Amino acid sequence: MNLLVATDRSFDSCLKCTACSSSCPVAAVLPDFPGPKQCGPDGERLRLKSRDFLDVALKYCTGCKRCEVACPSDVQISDIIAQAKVKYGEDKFRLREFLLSHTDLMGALTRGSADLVNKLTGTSVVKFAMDKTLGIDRRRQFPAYARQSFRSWYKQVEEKQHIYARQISYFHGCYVNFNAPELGQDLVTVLNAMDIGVKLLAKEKCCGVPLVANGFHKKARSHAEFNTRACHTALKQGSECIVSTSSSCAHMLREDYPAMLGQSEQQVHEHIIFITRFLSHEFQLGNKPEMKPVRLKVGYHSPCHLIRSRGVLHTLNILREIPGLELHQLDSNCCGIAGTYGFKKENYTTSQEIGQPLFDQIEAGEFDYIVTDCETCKMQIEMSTSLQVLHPVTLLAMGMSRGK
Amino acid sequence: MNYDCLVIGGGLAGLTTGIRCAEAGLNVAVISSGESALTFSSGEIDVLGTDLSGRAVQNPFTALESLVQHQPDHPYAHVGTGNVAKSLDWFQREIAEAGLPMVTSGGLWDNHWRLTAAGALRPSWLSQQSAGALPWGLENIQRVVFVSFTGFLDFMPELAAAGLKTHPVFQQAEVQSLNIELPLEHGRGATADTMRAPQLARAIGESDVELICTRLLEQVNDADLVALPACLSAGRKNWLTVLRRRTGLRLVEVATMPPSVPGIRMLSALKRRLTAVGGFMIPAMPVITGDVSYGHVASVQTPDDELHAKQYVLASGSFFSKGLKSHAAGEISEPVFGLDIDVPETLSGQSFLVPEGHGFNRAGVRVNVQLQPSLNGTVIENLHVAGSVLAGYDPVIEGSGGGVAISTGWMAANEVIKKVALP
Ligand SMILES: Cc1cc2nc3c(=O)[nH]c(=O)nc-3n(C[C@H](O)[C@H](O)[C@H](O)COP(=O)(O)OP(=O)(O)OC[C@H]3O[C@@H](n4cnc5c(N)ncnc54)[C@H](O)[C@@H]3O)c2cc1C
Ligand code: SF4
Ligand code: SF4
Repeated sequence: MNLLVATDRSFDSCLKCTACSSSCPVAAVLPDFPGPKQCGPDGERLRLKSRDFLDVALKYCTGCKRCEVACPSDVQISDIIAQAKVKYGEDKFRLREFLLSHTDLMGALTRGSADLVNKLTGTSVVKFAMDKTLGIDRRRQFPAYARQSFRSWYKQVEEKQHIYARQISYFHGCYVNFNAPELGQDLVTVLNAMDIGVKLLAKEKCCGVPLVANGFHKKARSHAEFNTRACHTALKQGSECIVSTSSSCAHMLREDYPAMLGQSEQQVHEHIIFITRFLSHEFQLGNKPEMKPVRLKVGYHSPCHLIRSRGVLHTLNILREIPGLELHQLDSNCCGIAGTYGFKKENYTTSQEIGQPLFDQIEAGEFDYIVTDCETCKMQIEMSTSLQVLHPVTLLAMGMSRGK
Repeated sequence: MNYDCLVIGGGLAGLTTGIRCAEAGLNVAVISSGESALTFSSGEIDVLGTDLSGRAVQNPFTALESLVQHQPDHPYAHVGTGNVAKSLDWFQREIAEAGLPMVTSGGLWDNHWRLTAAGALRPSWLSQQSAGALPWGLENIQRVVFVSFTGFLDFMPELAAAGLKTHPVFQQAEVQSLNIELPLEHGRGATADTMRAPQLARAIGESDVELICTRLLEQVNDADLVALPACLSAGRKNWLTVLRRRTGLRLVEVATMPPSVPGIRMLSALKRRLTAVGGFMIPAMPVITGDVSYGHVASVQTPDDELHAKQYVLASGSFFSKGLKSHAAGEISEPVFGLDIDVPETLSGQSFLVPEGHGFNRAGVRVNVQLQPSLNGTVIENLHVAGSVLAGYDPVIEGSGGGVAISTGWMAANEVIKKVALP
């Protein structure tokens, strides 16, 4: 996302074909959203003339990037819209945006009081209060905070990691650290089984996805600088690469940091890899852990940003290697949550309407589990359907521990 | 991680190949970089609409016989007339399985007519029920009304009416247009003039349908045919069926300017079918090059990976989809493998509307009767080619786009299935 660089001129190559508008999940459910063509290339032309042309409807865009995937002419539509929101929009500081976007801070604050926070955010009183005072929709379920953070669990296995000849670093992100340490544990299991040791960065900050989405650009940039330095050090100290189990963090670190920080650190960013891409390459080279059959019927949901960063192939590749697994690819359909977007009261209905076809398909499919790479997709699907959602790495780990 | 078959291109041709391979139990993935022509199309399947002398074709399969005799390099000649019919039957069953029933005309081997947004009539073979396949004999249709909704820009009833008036059969007929101003119950205050067809579809509610119904009964209840923009059948409810029942009129939907509701509906039905029968769809993934040596594709490259399969099918579409590339010097190339190309001598001839068609459209990848292409004269044995990237036909002039994509996609799959089964 070229948020902090000069104006993107890619709108000049727009062919007016409307392919983008036909694939926009928001336009499909919101009659008053003019759609990517009008908000992106068409609107930009006008906005360059006068900011009076700024359309308030821009705020409905979720940044899913499905328009960019559809565009035959490589117009960076979603980036143009995101830029316009920053450049011409009011920079309001709002508590809700602050709370939703400072995922690392929130995680740190709840440390030691996870049970209490989980209970509180689950109660209707608190939900009602958040709804009324903050504009966070009360129908939302919040991700539960774990009692022990991933980092503190990791200390138990840190010593053992040195016995492996190969070392890689893991950018766990806020979600694994505070909400889903078991996913991080599964990753260690899988990589160790492949004879690879797992290190953590000396320290990491939130990748910045929620900060950018909520308008905290300066902060996002400072996080980008911090994380880039940490990755750089890790590489110097012998890590082959840095992997992430979150498709959004990985996209941010790999694709968006270079644009935010300039190309100088590109070599660092090229070494940041989404986990299924790493595993798919290893498997292909013959480094595949032994797995027992996992006799489950699962539906795979591809997150929008993973589609955009061309990662669907890699996830399918590794899932197809799990013996016994009955794998069905779900229709490519946005789940509607789009990070923090769906948490906001004004977006709740839109968010659920966008996801409805996906939820229907999931309920009809008689699956044991749904599999997806993204933590916010997981939250959305678990809240809106009766199924539990697993990460691909967790399924791999299941194949290793079965029958042990 | 290897596939039995990798299909490059997820349009009508590639999806057809993918579905048939997956049904045969093959491990197949369809890799596609962008939107396909279906998003812009009417969502109907034309097999052959115009014969060699430029006349509208009533029985496409008879006309095909003579077409392939005169044009032995036509893709239909490679598939064979009998197989074209078989592939279309198969396709009709598949798409019905995916929840989108399509119909032929009442007459066993006849084309029917489909109405375009410009008010033209085109002979077509398979239609979605919303388009209401018009029977070949049009004489009974003497009063036609084109209806749209005030402000909606992607369908102009006046334009359509004027277009239909130029048709010989309708010169004496009464052709009118009617605009209805809708309250747009679910429009959240937005008006039709900012909406595209899929949005208009969602904005319409019971009160709008009630109003349309009243206006139709009051103003055009003696019409033989009422044509509306294709969006009613894609709403919160299938309003088209509701209106047909309440008015008793012959109502048909016409594909609007893109994005086209029926085109998108067909595309999603096919993708759904592909994954339902066990195939995989890899979106947003361009294939950059292929590694070919001694008449064999060893692998194909995407920006991040090298992919391997036993068999490959190229269904990358025509110029707009970037399956073919035209260069400044008037040259044409196939960008992935650099396959041998056929370019008609009359390439983009002096006049745009030459009777034998716009040479440009006939350019494409040259193949043998098994749909195998060649590279510098050497046939590639594990690559087959399907759809509009093929040379030797003109989908626009002939009215054959859908039929060629389906029948060549089907045949490419058959070839692949045969070869994968061999030890
Ligand atoms: C506006 C319009 C209206 C039409 N209306 C009708 C109609 O009413 N009836 C009818 O029968 N026919 C119609 N046609 C014709 C018919 O739709 C097409 O001939 C047919 O759909 C072509 O299908 P295809 O699969 O060959 O190509 P396409 O649909 O073009 O699909 C090719 C796909 O391959 C992908 N691709 C290309 N290169 C690569 C690569 N290197 N790597 C990965 N992916 C790649 C593209 O992104 C695209 O998705 C119409 C065509 C157009 C353009
Ligand atoms: S990023 Fe997504 S929501 Fe925004 S305009 Fe593009 S397709 Fe629509
Ligand atoms: S898809 Fe791209 S070229 Fe087509 S209208 Fe949208 S921005 Fe323009």
